Amino acid sequence: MKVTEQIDAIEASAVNPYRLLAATRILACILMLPLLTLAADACGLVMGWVAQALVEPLSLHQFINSGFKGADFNDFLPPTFKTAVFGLIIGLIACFQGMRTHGGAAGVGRAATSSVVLSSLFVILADVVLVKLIILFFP
Amino acid sequence: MTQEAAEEDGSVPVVTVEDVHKSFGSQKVLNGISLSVRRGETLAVLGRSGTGKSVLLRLIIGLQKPDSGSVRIHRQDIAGLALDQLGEIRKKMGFLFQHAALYDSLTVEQNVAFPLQHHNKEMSKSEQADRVKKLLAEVGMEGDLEKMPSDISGGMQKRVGLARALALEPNILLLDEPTAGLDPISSGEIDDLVLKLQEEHHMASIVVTHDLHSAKTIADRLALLNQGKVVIEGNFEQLQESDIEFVREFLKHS
Repeated sequence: MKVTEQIDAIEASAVNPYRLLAATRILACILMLPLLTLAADACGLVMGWVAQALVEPLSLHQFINSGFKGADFNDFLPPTFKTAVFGLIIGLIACFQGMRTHGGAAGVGRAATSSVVLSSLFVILADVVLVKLIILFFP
Repeated sequence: MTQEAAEEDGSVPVVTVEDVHKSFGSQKVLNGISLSVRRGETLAVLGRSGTGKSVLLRLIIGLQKPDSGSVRIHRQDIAGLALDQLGEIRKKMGFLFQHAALYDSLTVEQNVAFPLQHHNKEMSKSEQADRVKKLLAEVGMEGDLEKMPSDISGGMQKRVGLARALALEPNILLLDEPTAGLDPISSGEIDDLVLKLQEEHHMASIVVTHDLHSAKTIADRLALLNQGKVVIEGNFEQLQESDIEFVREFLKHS
């Protein structure tokens, strides 16, 4: 949208592009990352059961029960909600890079690559900090 | 006489650019440019490619800030304004981008309705729809409401862009190369449309173009830029009578 001047057109229409475009996307990332994490967890469980069942037949019910036997709230919810922070990081970096894009189609490619690299880096850094905080507050 | 009345009858300018300088890195684009436009008047800004004509329009709408000098809209210097304050001024301005800059995920109708949906909240949906249809009818696009920008030609996109620029009934209209990339017939149609809209809406219009024929057709005054300055300003006859070398060269090749 930046290189085709659509963001400039939004601004020229006296609409705040950060509120219209960035805020909505960042909020969407914050909400969706935990949900995606849950979906990924569910896929992981199912495929883990499939792998187990190929070696030694075991019902899904038994698999889940034995897998979650020692697990509690602290093992599940805080790590899932930390992905909301990841969503904030990804949304902020992607929107920032998008709003600053210049240089035509090549610039869009560069902005996308920068977004992925910077998001990955900051998610890893944030994860280190968040894991420490989770262990501290949810021992 | 109030300021609004003075601007309405054209006795004071609504847009004043005074000694504006703008550089990008080491490249000086505007080097002390000054001009003004009144209601009911169309000023064409001409010049070679890369002489800062589009930058001038972007400074007037506030998409960029000048390095020095002032840009006054309705006598208010816009350089120091916050985004929300600038928004209030922009509601009275319409901008047609060089490539129309239509929102590619919205239909033609939704594109034109965009400013109305965000600023005319007291209008009901049916009133907004009627206003959109009227605007598109003014530009000859009333039959293409449901089309996407990618489904229509460049000339049609410019017409839709014009309709969107007029949505909030602006009293200042900025047009960036309205006929660029169009065939002569489509260019002529856009020129006729701009003339008709100017007659009906009595706006202060600034048209940036390198198309001298188009400028002669639609403008009351022409300003020729060279090296970031206004070399000459006046009607076409005054440009023709000028003995400035650059002006003669520009007219010769246009």
